[in-house]
Amino acid sequence: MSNATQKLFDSGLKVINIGLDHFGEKLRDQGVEVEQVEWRPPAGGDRELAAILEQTGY
Amino acid sequence: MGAELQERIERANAEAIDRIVNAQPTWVDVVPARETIPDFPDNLILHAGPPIEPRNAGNPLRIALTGAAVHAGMAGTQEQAWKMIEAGEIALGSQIDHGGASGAANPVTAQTPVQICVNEATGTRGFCTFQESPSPNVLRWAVYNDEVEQRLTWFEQTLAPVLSQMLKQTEGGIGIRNILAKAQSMGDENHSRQVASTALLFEQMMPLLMDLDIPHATRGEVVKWLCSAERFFLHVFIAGASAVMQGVKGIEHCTLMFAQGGNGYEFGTKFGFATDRWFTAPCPVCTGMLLNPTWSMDIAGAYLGDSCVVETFGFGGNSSAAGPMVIRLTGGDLQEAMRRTERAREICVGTLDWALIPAIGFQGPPVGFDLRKIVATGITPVCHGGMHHLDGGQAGAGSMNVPFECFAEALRAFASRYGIEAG
Repeated sequence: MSNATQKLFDSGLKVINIGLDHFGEKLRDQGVEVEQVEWRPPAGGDRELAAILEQTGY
Repeated sequence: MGAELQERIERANAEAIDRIVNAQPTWVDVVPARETIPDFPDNLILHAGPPIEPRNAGNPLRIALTGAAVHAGMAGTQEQAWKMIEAGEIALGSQIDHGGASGAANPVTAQTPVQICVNEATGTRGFCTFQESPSPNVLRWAVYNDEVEQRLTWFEQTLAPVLSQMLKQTEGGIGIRNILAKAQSMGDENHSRQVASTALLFEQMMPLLMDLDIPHATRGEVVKWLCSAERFFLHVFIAGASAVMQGVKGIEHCTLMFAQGGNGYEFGTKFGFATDRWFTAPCPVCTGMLLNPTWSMDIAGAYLGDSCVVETFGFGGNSSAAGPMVIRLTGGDLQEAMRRTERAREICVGTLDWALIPAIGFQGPPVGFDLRKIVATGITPVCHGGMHHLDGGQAGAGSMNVPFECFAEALRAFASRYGIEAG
């Protein structure tokens, strides 16, 4: 492990969890401060709808 | 094509929002439906939500339809009425498709008195029946018995002509925008609660009623009945919201929703770019509070009504922060009330800047559900409402999320109409 990586683990964790809450919750259970960002793939991951959205300005 | 199409959409939606935000819905008359809907056949019953095949109608809708049929003299009994509906001798149609909206299950026949609202800014009209009363025996909650029959007759013979005469004494009707604006700071979200709005409306109606040239006993009956009907404003407002949202119909490239409703089997939505088309999905059931603690959710029917037109106009779920008592009553808390309004803002493109809500820093509620935002985020509108008991009557009250598929289908239709290649 490089020094930079080691340094990261030695310092206090600052976590931003994007999407599924579950991953953030596990860290929160261990006393880690977690900022939750609600995000999901556009159109719930439906490629056809996402392609239409892109052409309509999203 | 992308940039040009986007520009057209933005322009269309801006035009729609302008019509909605600058609306002046006004209650102008009460007339039998046949006087406002051209060529209304005597064997037609208009119901809530999208059109439905009789075989798909659930018990609450069957009770309401057959009760209306018996009241209108189409059949001698509800059993006979249902056979006539199945045989096509009694025709069914959607109130929304005829320019109105149904308060819960309230059906409309040719003789049904309907309240007419006009949006003076666009000239568009909407209609809705009377909100029947706080009694558990009402057709809107799918109960048909002697009490209901007597009230419906009284509406036709007494209440409707008196209120029509009352409105003719005004200069162009009673505006409801000021009422809505005031009630936003008085605890109403104006779908499931309209205590303040009803009182503010009565404040304008009472002096007019006092001056009407009608028998003293009739005036007494009408005033006493009105003062028992705490939710009277709701159906006036449904007609008003409907009048406003009709103004969004037929705007090419407009991705905003102008109507939504459920028939207990399917829930449907309609959008500016495709006025005549319904986008449907299986009807959701409200969650919230049941009126009887011994009941469980399996007695609750799916969403039956078009009152959620008020959400398309920025009230109800969109104005939750203005009426947190409703949220508390149906199992939520103050934070949930605030959250509901803010979530709606993520999928709307406008704000009603004349209906300010003190609790959120005097912002107006979000308005103008954009199907693009809904599909992109997966957040769907939250609509307030009541639940029908499957045996008839009201089971409870709460809220539901409009099904995502109603919007996904609409976006596919939009792509097909405007030649968008998907992928």
